[in-house]
Amino acid sequence: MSPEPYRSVTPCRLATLVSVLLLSLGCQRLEGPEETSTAPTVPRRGGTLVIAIGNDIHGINPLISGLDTQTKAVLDRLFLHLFEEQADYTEHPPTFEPRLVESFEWSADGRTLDLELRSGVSWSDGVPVTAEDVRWTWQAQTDPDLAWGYAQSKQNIRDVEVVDQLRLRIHFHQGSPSQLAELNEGSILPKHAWSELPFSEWRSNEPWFVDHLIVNGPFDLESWTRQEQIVLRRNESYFEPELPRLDRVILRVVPQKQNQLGELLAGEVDFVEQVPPSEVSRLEEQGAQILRFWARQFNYLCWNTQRRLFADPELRRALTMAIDRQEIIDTLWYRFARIAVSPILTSIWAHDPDLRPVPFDLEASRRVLQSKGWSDTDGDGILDKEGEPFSFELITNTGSQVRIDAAVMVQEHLRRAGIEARVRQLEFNTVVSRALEHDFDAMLGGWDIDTSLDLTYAFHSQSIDDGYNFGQFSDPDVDRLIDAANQAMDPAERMLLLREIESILHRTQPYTFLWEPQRLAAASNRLRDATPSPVSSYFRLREWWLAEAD
Amino acid sequence: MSSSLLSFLVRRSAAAALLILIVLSLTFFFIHLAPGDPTLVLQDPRLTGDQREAMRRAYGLDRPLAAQYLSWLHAVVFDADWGISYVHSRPVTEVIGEYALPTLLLTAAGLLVQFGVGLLAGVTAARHAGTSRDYLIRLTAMVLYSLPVFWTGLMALLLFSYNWSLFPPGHLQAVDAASLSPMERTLDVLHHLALPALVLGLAAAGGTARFTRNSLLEELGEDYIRTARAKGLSESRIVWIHALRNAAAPILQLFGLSLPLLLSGALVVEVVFSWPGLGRLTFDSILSRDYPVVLATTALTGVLVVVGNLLVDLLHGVTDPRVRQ
Repeated sequence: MSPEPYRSVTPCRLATLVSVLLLSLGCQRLEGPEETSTAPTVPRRGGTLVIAIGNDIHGINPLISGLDTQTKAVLDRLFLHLFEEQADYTEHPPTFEPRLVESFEWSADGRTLDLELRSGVSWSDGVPVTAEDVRWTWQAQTDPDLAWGYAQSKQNIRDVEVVDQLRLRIHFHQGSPSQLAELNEGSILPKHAWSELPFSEWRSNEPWFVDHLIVNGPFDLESWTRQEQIVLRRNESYFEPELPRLDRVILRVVPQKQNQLGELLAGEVDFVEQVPPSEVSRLEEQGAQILRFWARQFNYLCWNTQRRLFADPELRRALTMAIDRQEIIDTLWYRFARIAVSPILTSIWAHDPDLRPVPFDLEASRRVLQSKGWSDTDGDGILDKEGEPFSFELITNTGSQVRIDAAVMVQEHLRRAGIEARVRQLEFNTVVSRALEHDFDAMLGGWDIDTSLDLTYAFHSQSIDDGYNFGQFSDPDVDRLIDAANQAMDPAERMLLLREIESILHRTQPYTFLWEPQRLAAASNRLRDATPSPVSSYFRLREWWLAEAD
Repeated sequence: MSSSLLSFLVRRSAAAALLILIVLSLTFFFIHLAPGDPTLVLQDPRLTGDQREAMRRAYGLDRPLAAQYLSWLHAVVFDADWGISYVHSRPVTEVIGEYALPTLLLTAAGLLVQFGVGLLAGVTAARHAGTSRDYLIRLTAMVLYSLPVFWTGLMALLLFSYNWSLFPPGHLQAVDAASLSPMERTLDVLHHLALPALVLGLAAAGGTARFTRNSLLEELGEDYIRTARAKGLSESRIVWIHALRNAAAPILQLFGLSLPLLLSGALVVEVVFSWPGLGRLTFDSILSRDYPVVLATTALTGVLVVVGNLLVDLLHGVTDPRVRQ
């Protein structure tokens, strides 16, 4: 479950409302070049971009600090991956553009991958990036003392063999559709500079890495004032000519979203991520650019299928039909979200476009409930059966106003169907703990997903005890199809399997799939070619540029 | 220092150390028993149960809670070792040291505003009790005291930073502070400090003003004040030297109590003004279950409470001859 997309540190709605109102009265139109034919179209080199961020990074070693989105987004500008995942997964599985890799070739059985590294790529101290760096990074990633959070992504790699200075052979245990993505997980680190410190000491020596920082990405770290700002400067030894275009990037820590927007409108910052949908019109009116993309996220109501109330798939479907998801979207997300249909997002290639969202149909929902023996025998407005009212607890996490508001709307929609949902807000960790222990009736949450389309995490029965199958959903057909899809190397075959899973989940509704949001960013008018994407908020930051001097 | 004072200090310090130890032990167990742990903060489908277990082992969280407590206590008491932050991956003392300075700066400036403005307003109100000036000060004090700090902070930012550009919009220093000379840098920090310190201090100044006024009014009705007036002493001397000195005890107690309160109030101001400091660190550490940092910041707050109270007792002795005797 992902934390709140734009998490406010102090949930002070009153303050937010007042500040929104007054900011809208007080702030002036952003100055800057208009989008006219006179605006420069040839990319300009130079300038300092200021980005507002909600949280500081946790460190500069990606293996001990790079698990949170913010830190990862910054560190990926300092260290290169073998490939760069592209956000082109609408029509086909995502492609991987070679970065450190010059060329690659698969063996016929898909178990061996020959890589040739790009020549002429060096670390910022002038030492060339070699195959030894790649092998040593893999050793670090899989070291048990280091316990890297994503070490599991390397479990299919049997060995990383160094053929010569620039050539490697990757040996996999077996072929799988996600093996390239798994290989690409984690950036390549400098062996010659960081191998002095044993892996077992990495977790207690983060400052050592700052002191011994050597990078191979487009940017280097100029300074880092904790909880204040991170200053990146152009890495002059970066291998791509003329890139990056920006001289410097300053990431200013501004915890409050309203302050981030205030600073944007005051001209103090150029780029703000995760803008609340309610702010978009005002920002556009005041001259800011709004950049948007479909996030790889869906929000859901998870039903605990082992509880008596939610054991029946038809009844779960009736609950979905009682919830007006379009109203939730219109109220909370304006035009920046759409109804989710399944765990395979509608923007992903494998999604079945013919699968329509379960419709909002209160009457049909009531009919199903009645057919299952639920009726209001005591006239209290709540359905009951054999003396038991249709009443349950709906939990969601604090810190996410959107989810709390959505839970309240769900509560109202279900009330109209004669069902009592008692909304309970709990601290994020508490929600996760209860979800893992399956100690809940229903839960409103969200998943940020990758493009592997491995649905094991939440829908395979093996993930009930070890994983995130919070609702204890178990269907042998789904298990079998997930296993088959994870082995299918042919995208067409895989698509068919995934669509079959989608169809079952659509029919059985272990989740009520609520909405898929767009992610919104606001930028000053001088910022050009900014392409935030689901891959990263700072996707291709090396190509962003500013239309005027600082 | 007299032996009685030394003995007093030793006894108070020992009691305080015991108190802090109890508070820390309770905090240790409460935060460990709270749902979740550092590995649960990140809910990523790719982070498997096995991997979470491996991370728990790396943090030492796989051992029984009692064993964790004893080893933590041993390290703190005998080695002054507060452990390694799970989030920051470095010694907690380093983390705290780095974040404490901005908070101490903000708190000190806030105290200065609180007691500077509060005392002045309280004395003025007491001297002109029953007049329109008194009513105005009391009303203003009540308003300041009642307004939530996050609201006044946001409004101050809106008016003085975004609209009129008189103060920077939060932060400890300017974006380009590194290029400034030491003198310019100091002035830059003071410029950034002014607005959050005013917001933090003025809210508390309202209470201080009302407290001072009431304490002083009681003293101004005493016989010795009448005698002083009969002897022809100036009103300023009577108020500031004689009456205020005798009214100082409760005000000093307020000062001692304000130390930890301002620290917690600083959290809100730090968030609103993007000020780097202990408040934000503590809040984030609780959310991310960074146990070593939470325990260390709790200890620091406990020490501040103790030091504040100790300071009150000492100052009380300085201002009141009866206590010295």
